[in-house]
Amino acid sequence: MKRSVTFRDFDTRRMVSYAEYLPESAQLLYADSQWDEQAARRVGRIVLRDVRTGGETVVTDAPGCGNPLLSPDHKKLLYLAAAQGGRQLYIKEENATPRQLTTMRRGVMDPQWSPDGQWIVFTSFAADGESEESLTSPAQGEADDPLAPVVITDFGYKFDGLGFARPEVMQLWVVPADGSRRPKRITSGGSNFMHAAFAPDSRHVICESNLFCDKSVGIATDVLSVDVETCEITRVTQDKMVVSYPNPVRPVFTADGEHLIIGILDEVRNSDSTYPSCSLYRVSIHDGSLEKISEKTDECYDCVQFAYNAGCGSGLEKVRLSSDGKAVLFHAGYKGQGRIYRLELDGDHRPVPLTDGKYVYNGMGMPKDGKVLAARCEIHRPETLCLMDEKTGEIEELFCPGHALTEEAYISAAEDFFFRTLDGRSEVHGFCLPPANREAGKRYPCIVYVHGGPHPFYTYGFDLEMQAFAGAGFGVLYCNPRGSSGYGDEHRRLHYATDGSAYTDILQFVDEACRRFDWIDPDRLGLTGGSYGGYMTNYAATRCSRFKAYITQRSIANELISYASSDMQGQSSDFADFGSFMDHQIDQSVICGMEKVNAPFLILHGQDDLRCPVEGAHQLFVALKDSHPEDFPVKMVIYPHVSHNQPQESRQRAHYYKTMLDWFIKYL
Amino acid sequence: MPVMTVADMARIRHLHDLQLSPDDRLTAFVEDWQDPSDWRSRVCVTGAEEIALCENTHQPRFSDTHLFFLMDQPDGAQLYCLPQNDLQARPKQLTHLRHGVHEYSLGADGRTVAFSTPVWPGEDALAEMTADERAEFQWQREWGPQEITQIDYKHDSCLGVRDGSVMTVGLLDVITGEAKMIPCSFPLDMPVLSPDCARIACYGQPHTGARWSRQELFIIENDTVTALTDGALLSGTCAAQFTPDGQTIVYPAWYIGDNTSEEVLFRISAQGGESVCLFDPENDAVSSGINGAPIRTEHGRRRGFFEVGEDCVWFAGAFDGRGRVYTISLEGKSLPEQIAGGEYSIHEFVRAKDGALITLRGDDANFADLWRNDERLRDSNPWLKEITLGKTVIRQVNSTDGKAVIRSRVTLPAEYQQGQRYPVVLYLHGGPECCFTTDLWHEVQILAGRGYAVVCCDPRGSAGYGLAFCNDEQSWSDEAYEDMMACLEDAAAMGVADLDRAGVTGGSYGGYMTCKIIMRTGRFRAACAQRTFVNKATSYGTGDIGFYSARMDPADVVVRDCLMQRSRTSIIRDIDKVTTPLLLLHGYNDYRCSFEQSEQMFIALKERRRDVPVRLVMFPKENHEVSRSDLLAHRQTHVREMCDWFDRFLKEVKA
Repeated sequence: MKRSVTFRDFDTRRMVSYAEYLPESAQLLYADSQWDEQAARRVGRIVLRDVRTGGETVVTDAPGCGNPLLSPDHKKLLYLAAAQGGRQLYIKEENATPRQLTTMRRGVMDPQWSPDGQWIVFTSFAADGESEESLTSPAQGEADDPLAPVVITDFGYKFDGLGFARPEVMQLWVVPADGSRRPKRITSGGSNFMHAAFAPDSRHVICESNLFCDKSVGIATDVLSVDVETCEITRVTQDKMVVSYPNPVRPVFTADGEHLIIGILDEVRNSDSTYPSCSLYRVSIHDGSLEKISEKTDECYDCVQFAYNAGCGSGLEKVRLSSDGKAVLFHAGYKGQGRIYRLELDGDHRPVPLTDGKYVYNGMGMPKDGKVLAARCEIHRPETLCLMDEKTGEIEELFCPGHALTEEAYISAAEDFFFRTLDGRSEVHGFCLPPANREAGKRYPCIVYVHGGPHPFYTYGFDLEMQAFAGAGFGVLYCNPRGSSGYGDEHRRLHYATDGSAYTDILQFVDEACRRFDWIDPDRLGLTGGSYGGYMTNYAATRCSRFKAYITQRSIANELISYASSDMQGQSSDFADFGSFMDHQIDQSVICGMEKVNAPFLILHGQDDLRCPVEGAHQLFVALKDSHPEDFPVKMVIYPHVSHNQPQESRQRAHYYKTMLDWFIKYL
Repeated sequence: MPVMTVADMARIRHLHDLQLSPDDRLTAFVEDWQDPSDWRSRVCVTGAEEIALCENTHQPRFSDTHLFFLMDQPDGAQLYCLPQNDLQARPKQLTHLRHGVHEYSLGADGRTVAFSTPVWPGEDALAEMTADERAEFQWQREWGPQEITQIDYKHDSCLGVRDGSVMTVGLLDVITGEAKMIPCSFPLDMPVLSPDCARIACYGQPHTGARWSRQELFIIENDTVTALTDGALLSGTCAAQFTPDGQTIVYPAWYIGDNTSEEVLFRISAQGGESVCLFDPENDAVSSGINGAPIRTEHGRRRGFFEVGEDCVWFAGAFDGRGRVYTISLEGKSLPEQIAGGEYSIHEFVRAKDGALITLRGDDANFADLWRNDERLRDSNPWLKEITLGKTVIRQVNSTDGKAVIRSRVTLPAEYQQGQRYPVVLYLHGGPECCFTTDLWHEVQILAGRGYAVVCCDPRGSAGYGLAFCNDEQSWSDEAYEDMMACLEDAAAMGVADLDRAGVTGGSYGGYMTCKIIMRTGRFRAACAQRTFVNKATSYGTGDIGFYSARMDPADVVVRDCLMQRSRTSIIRDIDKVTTPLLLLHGYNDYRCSFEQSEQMFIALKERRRDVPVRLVMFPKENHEVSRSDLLAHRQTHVREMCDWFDRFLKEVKA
């Protein structure tokens, strides 16, 4: 019998990122990271792999190395590695010693080649007024004081994962690939510039920024073009919101360099969607004129995918121009799948799915000779790198980095099903992952897991956390209730997520699952979820007695706290009087009713969570403890240095999952 | 001559922890100052000449022959000693505690030491950490998950969430080096040895739940820890003391009146029994208890509040805006008698055998310095002579309802010229059970240096003016507000303040009042709310005193009702009435008035009153002590931001 998956596998599993395929030598290039027992941490390498023999050549194992990118002619390799000031740019030419190209005071992020291979554009933090000299040399200038007072004068002063806004913002720089000149800063001011890419002329860089917009709207709202020589900035898009956080799409150029293909939100963020669906547009770089080129069909709901647990494709791109220049390839969520679609640029605007089946595709390499590298996974199979035919979608598997795990550990396979909702308006897609090595006829405790958002969706992806719960003897039940994307615009409407529809969907799903699978013990169900899933956990706990234990992760409890303290700050403008707004926010908050909770309740929250502010967790704990001093266990664990996420640091993560597991074992 | 500026904050020397050797020959105190990287302290000893010990020394105590003190080491402060006749020798290290000494008491025998130290479960408090243990300890402090199961799990005084340690008392014989810890399941701190060194009086926290932070008085004898009080409402500002015969313990605690309170002294038999209040708090014509909560303008822990004699106690207390020294009988319910006081404030005192009073005393033009009776012994801040200070005028202002007289300190601009009117800043203290005393405070003088008249008043609800004056209701209803306005009007009536150029600021309760004022009147042209409190609904559970201040019976808690009631009584409801430009200064780790309180003000103003300038400055690692204990550069930013904000809106003359 194989061993079970455990949470320890988070440390030891092998993962890759920034993969690319070199057809001329039949090699895969990627960054990977593996557990180093002695150092007790993961260490990175950049590797070339012969896909025929499986032989690997380590290009570098320099500390902090990653983000490998081949030059357009595949002759030079660019990567980042740790050095003074942060990660710096390195260039390696065949058989030559790697050369360090930058000494940026605050490190380098997101490098991109110019099409002629002469230049690299990258992002590095800079404040207005800092000299190029002091920024391009770590020895110059004083180190930043991380505890310096933060001056706040406008919205957008905090951002989860980045912390509070500092004077330093993301600025774009270019550096010649031969290192003949120091990096040159091509943007300035107090706005962030991101998702940069060179134009085919190698003389302009396009990027996204809120330079011309109200900062309360978003961090990257328009596409801009920057002349590398003169640093002159031209606003390419007007009025429309480009696809940005949390699902950014790097714009791509058409073959002639005259147009950009970009994703644009179908509507502005509104009360019925915190993250609307998107369409692809063709934009003239000369006059900014827009042409919508993708249509929604029954086979394609969107032009991005908001996968909650895709589990593959790190560092890869989401929109690509086909190698013949005639079509764009993009991926979008569809009924639990992550699909890759092909859209002919001069066709009928109807995207054609290239993939189907119970897979998640998430990310593509650079198309070449009619083929493109794609990453995919399945519920029971971790990330696999494949070569896909751009026209037919035909797949050739190249490499499965997590193969060793599937060889030695028992991987549970989920069953999925659809059911019609009680109100008859939609269908909900549910997944049931049985415990590992289960015995026939035996009933098992189960964890109902609600995803965050609410707009992301659970996929057919490999989910190590769920596998580890299955490995510990729990069934895991999860579904995409109303509010989830990937099932059409009606299904994803925001108000369903909070008006009780999604709650009913989840309870109905649990009923359906219990009816279908005799391994589920209906009397030993626990409920958990993060963010919106935490909100739903709080919501359910005040309304039903179905669950015997709750774990709320990074949850929202009080809308009035989130109004001012979340990085997605709220709006009171619909209310003539602020007092009525306050009362209304409280009334809408799941914290009301906490006295009705009747089962052990565990709160997990990151100290640096700026999305669902940690203050909400403190209030939730106190409200529960205040109204239930003795009757059942209430506990909160706060994780320092953790933002709106589960902990990533190895020991913290181990503690986190152990705390969850112990809670469910004890009370289920 | 130059005036006081933000840069001068690097020059200030604060004195505290005054001690006298048993033979009266030597006086010791701690001098604190700040260099760019951190606070510094050192023990100074004055006799025939003054000797300063090395940096990072504090808590000096005398035996007959030696000087004991703590010196900071990487894992905490350790106890050292020096012979009094050779203070420049190399100090002898007496403890090697795992996490250092927190507080200690030196016995009259000169060899017994009772100390407190934080202990984490399973640790040997007496063994120093190995390198591996230290790395693990540091990881836990920096990255370790905080597991919370009790409702009173955080406190601003713990710098946030309780860290899992239990303050524990131990005993050390400095001659033999033998040490032991007293096993106890709850925290014990501030140990004091009895005159025969056989017993220890200390404060403990035996309660759980919402009463966790409440302390009781304990006595330790033969390793047995026994509670002497139950529900004593200890103030914890300084350690308890034995009477010379060791039979009685005197301790500071709160006297609770009708919606009001006062810090006073109680006595209790060392065997236990009834506590007796030494004061008759309702009779408050000459004193207002001990301490009196003067606003803390200095750094460092003040200790010398009281001394116990055979049949009486000498104590320091602020009354009517001045820190004075009194004596009171041990009998109980008696009236204190003032033995020292004037146009100055005594911060700490010790009594010499000849009856002389050695004090740390400050006044309007001087930070607290060393005095013997009315003779000044030291000039700790000689640089003050080189700058021009704003002169402070004391005003007695009649309240508009005619029911009270309000003491108002009006500091004139440093370069004041008679007959000219100046922009004015109304500076409100926190608490509200607090008061301004006759002391030099750099923030006021820096404002005066920038050309402002500064009004610091003690409205009704302030401490140090008697029980009735301190009635809490007045702080939150109209009385305090009207008193503040009356004092501002008075500064105009003096011919000093130009009310067309008035600003208002304050911290904590002062920040709350600043926000409340700009929601009620548009008369101020700029406001600066420091560590403010505006929304009770969001502060529930986020600030450390947010929840139990209005706690109901758990069985009756309906969370929605509780939050709604808090929402309806929050001043931020009137945000739309604000027309005054507002600067908010707040520490991110403030667990008293949580940072989100300032965000509520900022976002609501930004969103609803786009015409009103608003600015928020966040101090990342700081708590409620932001303006007092942060790094120099950050404290300077704090003051500079405030001054610059007023300059921006008050300096131009209205057309």
